[in-house]
Amino acid sequence: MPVRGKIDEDERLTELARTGDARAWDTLIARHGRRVLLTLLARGVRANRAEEIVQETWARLVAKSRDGALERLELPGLAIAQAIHFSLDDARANKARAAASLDESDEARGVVDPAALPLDRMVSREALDRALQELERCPPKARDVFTLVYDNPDLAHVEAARKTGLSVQRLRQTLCEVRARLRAAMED
Amino acid sequence: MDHPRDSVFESFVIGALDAADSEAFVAHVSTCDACAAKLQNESRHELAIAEVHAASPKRVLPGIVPAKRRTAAWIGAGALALAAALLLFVLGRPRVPVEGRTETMTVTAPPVTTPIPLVVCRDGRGQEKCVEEAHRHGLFVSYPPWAKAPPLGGGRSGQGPNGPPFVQQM
Repeated sequence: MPVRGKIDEDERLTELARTGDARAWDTLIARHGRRVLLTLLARGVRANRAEEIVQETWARLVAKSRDGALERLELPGLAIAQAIHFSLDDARANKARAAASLDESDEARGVVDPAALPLDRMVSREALDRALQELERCPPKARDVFTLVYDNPDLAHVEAARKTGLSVQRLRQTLCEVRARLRAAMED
Repeated sequence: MDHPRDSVFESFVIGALDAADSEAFVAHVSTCDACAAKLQNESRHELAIAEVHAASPKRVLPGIVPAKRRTAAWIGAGALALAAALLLFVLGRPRVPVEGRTETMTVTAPPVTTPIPLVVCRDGRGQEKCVEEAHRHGLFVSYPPWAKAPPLGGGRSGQGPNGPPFVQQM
């Protein structure tokens, strides 16, 4: 799908979801769910609790949309903010319990203060530039795979493989090769 | 306790684990400090990579094979395979000399650029069989100008399986 068409599609889905459309929510959750989960994991929330928080987050947003309480819906930003809010509530509750028992829980220790970790910046400008240059040096087919998969986070790898004419194994191998190159470039 | 391999962490963050493996992985990393820290690191890297993607110039994907073209390619390959099968069938049959001739029929291999392969069925004992085989495989039949009139002439050999003219006079 061309870039403009994809943006239009996102806007249409978001508007439908804002008014409580279940199908639109299904699509958006599939598209953004992993990003929300990874954000929590990156902040040190334990995996099992992170999965629960993600569920609670979507349930809360869907309920709000059905109540007509969502004036604006920007995804994944709103879902990430909601999930972080839940995780901080968790951390505070755990800290309070730990203080009461003089035993600090692992989870309370692990959660990073959001002020210390900017929402959307995981990488410095210099590292980003190095990674972008490295991406340009990747073979065209590898860049196609990378773009297709990251443009469409809700696209199953089986489907991405079909679209690129590769086997699933080859697609994942290619994807991991590109990731490894970008990662090395960012760590330089 | 066995810790997951590095590749499993990567598979998890890119969404390549199936439901059962993912469940087992989450169960482990939720109770293992070392693996939880590793997953945190891997997740940060994945978010960083997503950031690289977001900052990269938007591009149309020229390497992606559109479904329509792939289908056409399969149809072409299928037609070619059918023609090859027919060729093998015809050439593999015992050759019976008829009225001094050593060959009863010839099949022309379809040119690559021709979407529908042509089959030449010469007159002789094998002509009827040749035409029937061609019909069965949905192929066009061409009679060379020096051949006799087709024995299956009229409606039967003159129409393809779907109605349009089937037999061509060369």
